Amino acid sequence: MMLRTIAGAMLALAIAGGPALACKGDEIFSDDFADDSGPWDSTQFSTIAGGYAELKLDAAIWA
Amino acid sequence: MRFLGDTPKEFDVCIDVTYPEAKKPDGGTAGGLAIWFKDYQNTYIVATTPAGVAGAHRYNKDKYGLVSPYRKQASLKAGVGEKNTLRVTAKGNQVTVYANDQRLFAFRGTPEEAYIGLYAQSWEGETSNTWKFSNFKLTEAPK
Repeated sequence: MMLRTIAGAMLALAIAGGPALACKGDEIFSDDFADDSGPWDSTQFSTIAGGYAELKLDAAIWA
Repeated sequence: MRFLGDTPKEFDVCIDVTYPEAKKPDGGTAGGLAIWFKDYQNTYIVATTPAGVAGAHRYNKDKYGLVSPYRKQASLKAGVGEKNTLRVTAKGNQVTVYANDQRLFAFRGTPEEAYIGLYAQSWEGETSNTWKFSNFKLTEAPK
């Protein structure tokens, strides 16, 4: 019983900690941004690496 | 920064957004998702600021329009380096926005077969703001 409770708690934690828990439907695409091989356009303001897509902006610009 | 893999009219998209340093956390910079993104003159923007504010606006033939007022949201963790999961669901003409699994607001729009993009903007003089996005996930819209 204790084991079951712990396992249940761990599962709940895992679900709660999921970064994209809400998007539960059939997956079209996902990207962990480990590298820039995904289908993204690149701009002078963007980089993809190490788990992040970054937008670095100067004033009055949007990207 | 557009996702080029698909141009869905209906979708469910999730992304983790990390707030940058900002001189003016509320109004100096904003980041989030561009949806139904035909081009920079024709798109909807769902955005948040490092002050934990979120709302939505659009550009229609380059004309700005507010579609959901920017308001402080209790479910957003405010501050530099804080990470929030933003979710935008588009079904029919209804767009619903969530943060960290809490519903924030909804609005009606004009669906387009167009891109989804990562969005950031700065109004902060010579300061650069670096917005970080992680764990992008695009799925079919909920039934």
